[in-house]
Order: sequence, then structure tokens, then C-alpha cells
Amino acid sequence: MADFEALAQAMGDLDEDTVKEMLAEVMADGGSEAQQAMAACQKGMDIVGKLFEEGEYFVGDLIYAGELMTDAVGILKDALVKGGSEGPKTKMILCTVKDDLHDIGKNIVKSILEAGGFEVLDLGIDVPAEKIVEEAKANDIHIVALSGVLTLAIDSMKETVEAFREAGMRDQMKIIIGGAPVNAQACEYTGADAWTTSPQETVKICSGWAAQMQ
Amino acid sequence: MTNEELRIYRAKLFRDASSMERKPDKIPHMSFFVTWKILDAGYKLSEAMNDYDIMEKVVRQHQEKYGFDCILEMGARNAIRIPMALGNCSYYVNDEAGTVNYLDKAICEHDELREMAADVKKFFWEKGMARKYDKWADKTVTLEDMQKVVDEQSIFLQYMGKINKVMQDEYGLPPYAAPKGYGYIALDFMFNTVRGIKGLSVDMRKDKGALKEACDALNELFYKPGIEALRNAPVGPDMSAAFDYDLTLLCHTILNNRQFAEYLWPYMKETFDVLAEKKMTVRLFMEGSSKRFWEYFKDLPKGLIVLHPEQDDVFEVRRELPNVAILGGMPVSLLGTGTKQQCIDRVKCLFDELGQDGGFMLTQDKMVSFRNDANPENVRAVCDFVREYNG
Repeated sequence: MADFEALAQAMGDLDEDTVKEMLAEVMADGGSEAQQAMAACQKGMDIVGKLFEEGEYFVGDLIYAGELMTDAVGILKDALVKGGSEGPKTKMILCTVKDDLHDIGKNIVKSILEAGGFEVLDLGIDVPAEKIVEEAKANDIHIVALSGVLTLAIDSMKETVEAFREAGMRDQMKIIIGGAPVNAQACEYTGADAWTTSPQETVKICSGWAAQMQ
Repeated sequence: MTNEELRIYRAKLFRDASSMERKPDKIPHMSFFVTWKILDAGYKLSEAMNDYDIMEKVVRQHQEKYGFDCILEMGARNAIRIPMALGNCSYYVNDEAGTVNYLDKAICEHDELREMAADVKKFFWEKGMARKYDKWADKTVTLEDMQKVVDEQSIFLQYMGKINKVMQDEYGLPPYAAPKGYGYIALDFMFNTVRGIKGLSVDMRKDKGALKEACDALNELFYKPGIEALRNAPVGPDMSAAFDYDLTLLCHTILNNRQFAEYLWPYMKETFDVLAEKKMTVRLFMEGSSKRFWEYFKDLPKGLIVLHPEQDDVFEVRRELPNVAILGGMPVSLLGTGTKQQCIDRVKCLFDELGQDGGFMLTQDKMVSFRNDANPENVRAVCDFVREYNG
């Protein structure tokens, strides 16, 4: 049996060589312990998030962690599919808003949200408000995370919140905004429910909403 | 005052404020408006970026309308004509939305760092250019294309020379920084141009030796000539410009504290030491928040650094770094969505609390880029109030 504590710690330490060696060992028998390995990697991502909050890690470390997690999922994927999932996950939408083409912050948040147990529908970048509303409706999604780096993203976020209102869906939605230009004033201006500049905080807020919705 | 006298007077305002030795006659007001001023002048972004006569009109109109003491950006940013001479560039201009976005693309892969370090120019010529320009990649680039690039570079430099002269001679504006007053540290070049944000994040974790070799090679090419020129410069500030040197940094936005200490701070420190020896001032703009690094600035001599905080609270900067002059204070978010009175109240508060003993210069906290970043009426109200309140 693999040492899953050590795997979680290696992921938290962003020790790529050790993580990949251990995952290769897990897959040596076809991946009978892939689920446990996945859980250990997710635990490792929690360590990464904690170190980020403590100021030990910064954005580059989160980007690297996201890459490492993506590789880990790639290694374990076949066995995870065979083994079935742990049960239904909360679905949510994540995207960078209209006229903003930045995707790195969004991708960091995506990897941490997925590690935190969400099924993330990533709509990409430069996404118009109507498209977000349409996808939320089509996929019965009630949590939306809007990302942006440019100052103009604030207006696009506001348009998106208003689009949900116009569609008569605002009361059923929880909307969080995040990114460099976001602050309390922007949150009030856009009419969003919450704001953050921390990926870990995004997971906490969305997890709270998901718990309320169940 | 003649325009010449006005230019000297305005430069002195910045010099007095940044030296922190004496209170300036009045608090200087700098423009950090970038592409916004094109839209404000009624032009499309692509029109002005592709036509230097229009860009000149934009800069003139900006000064005629608002009357700043110095303009930081005179149409040089996003110089798209030079790369477009090779058929494509990394800027995406959307006239309908009034936006410019930049494609973050690696021109060197992680496994090629040592190859690049061995011969930077050869690597750029043979591989880097092909990843940036389609014509280079499909080998259809011609000597005529290359001549066009050189011509465009020359036209751009002529524009820069002209607009600087126009603004000095006809509007009495000092240049923002002294000639050769710009530093470029390799890690920032890696971040902006060579590896991109994601690439550099991976490099710093994956093979630090290769990253170090690459940075050393790039520093030989980009950083060292600059620092040597500075070392050989005469002692004393260039009083014709608002500041002697500009250090604008972006890569710290992804670095953890250990990486900052290892990769970036040694070069910043060397630059600051030379500038201090020469009794010069540097405008330091660190994108995002620089607060994590303030500890490094605490022991630097008074009057060396003019910190331009983008996200940090200027009042906190004053409390924590009494040795550092401040450029900034006007939130773009307020210019965009606040009322005239809120904007004026903010300026009054800044002047009363930070400007009483010098060491403070007013400008916008962020580059003002997009149409809704600032309401022109708010900008005018601020500029009028600054003139009136300053006396």
C-alpha cells in the first residue's frame, strides 16, 4: 500500500519528482488505489493553499501546483474512470468575463476548486454575460465565479450580474468575483454576493454556498 | 512664465518632492493616462496606434484639456507598428470594446533554457522570432520585411523625439525620466517576453540551475549595459527631468518571498546602490502590491525611491516607509465610478495628510487604460481642484 500521507506532503511541497514516482507506483497494478491517491493529491493541494495563505507560497507556486495537479489527474485518469467517482459533485461555472483575455488566475482557481471537490464548467475567457446565463440555465448551475484582471472587467462583471437579474435567476444564484481589480467597492458596484483575490478563499466561500444549497 | 521657465519650474516641483529635503512650491500632478486618452480624444485605439500624427494630437489634447505637470506616457506604449511590419504582433486591439490585450506566449521552452543561455542572440534569431512571427516560422520573411521593421523603429523613435520636444517647448512639460533612465532586469524579461507567466512559474520550481544560467545570459545583454552606463554617469540628478530613473517591475507578482530575495532583489539593490551613489532618484512601480517587500526598502537612503503604489494604501506607505517619497494616491476606481465631490475630497485628504511636508506627488494608482476607467468630468474636476487648492 502506498504511503498516502507522504504523497500528500510531496504534493504540498511541490516535489514533482516524488509525486510522479509515487503515482507511477500506484498505477503499477492498474491503479487499484487510484482513488486514495487522488484524495492524497487533493489533501496536498490543501497544504499548498494553506502555505499560500501563510505567505510561504505565492502565485507562481499556485500556477505550478495547478500544473502538477493536472499531471497527477492525467496519470490516474484511466483508473479513476474505471473505479467510478465518489458521488455527485457540486457544479459551478468559472470564466473570465467579456473583453478580458486573461486566463492564468482563472486556471489557478479552477485547479483549486476541482481539488476542493467542485465540478467546474470552465467557459474560458472573454465570455459575454448572455453566454454565462445561458450555460447556468442549461446546466442547472447556481454558483458562478467571475474572474478578471483588467479594470474594465468590473463593468463586465456588473453586466453579468444584471443579466442574471433580467433573466429572473438572480435570487437562485450565488456570484463571486475575483482578480486583481476586485475589492469591496467593486463587489458593491457589481452587485455580486462575494469577492476575493485568494483562490483558497474562493473555495471556502463556494463550499459554504454549496452546503447551504444541499 | 515662458514655456522654458514653466518646464524648469515643473521639473523642480518633482525634484523637491522626491528629494524629501524641502517642500515643493506646490504638489505636482502627473498623468498616468495611457490608452484612455486616445478614447477621450475621440479616436479609435487602432487609429492612434497606427498613425503618429493622430497620437500627437491625442497627447496635445490631453494636456490642453487637463493641464498636468508631467505626462508619463506619450503614446509609446503598445507600439504595434514595429512588430506589425513582420505581419503580426502580440497585441489584440478591439476598437469596439476599446481594449488592448496582450498574448502571454513563451518564445523559449523550459527544456531550451540552457540552449538560450549559451547564445541568446542566436536562439532568438533561430527559434524565438519564429514563435513570435508567422512569417519567420514559415520562412517567408524577406529582406524588405526586415528593412520595414528597421524603418518603423526609426519612425517610432522620431515620433518619440518629436512628441517629447513638442511637450517641452510648447507646453512646458519636463520629460518624465532622464535619457537612459530605464532598467531591465532579466527575470522581468523572462516573465514578459521569453517564458511568460506560466513558464517562469514552472522554471522556478523545475530546474533552477537552467533558469539561473538563462537569467545570467540575459542580464549580460539587457541589465549590465544599463547599470554600467549608470555607473559611468556623472554624479548628481538630471534636473531637466522629473526623475532620473524608472524601474517598473511585473515578475514579483508571481514570486514567493524566497524567490524574490534570490532572483530579483540583488539586482534591485545593485541598481539602488548605484543610484544612491550618484544622488539620483528612481520611480519604482511594482505592479500589484509591493507591501511584502517593504522591509527591503526601509534602510535605503531618504530621497532615493519614489514609490508608485498600484494597490497599496499610500497612507500606510507613508507610515511604514518614511524614507520613501510617494507618487500616486488617486484611485482609478474613484475616477471611474465616484462622484466629482468624492474625487475632490480624496485629493484634499491626500494633500492635507501626505503633502504638508513634501515627499508626495499626485497621480493615478493604475495605468488608466479603458473608457470606463475614468469619467472625463471627474478628471477635469480633479485637475481644476489641484490647481486651485495648490494655489
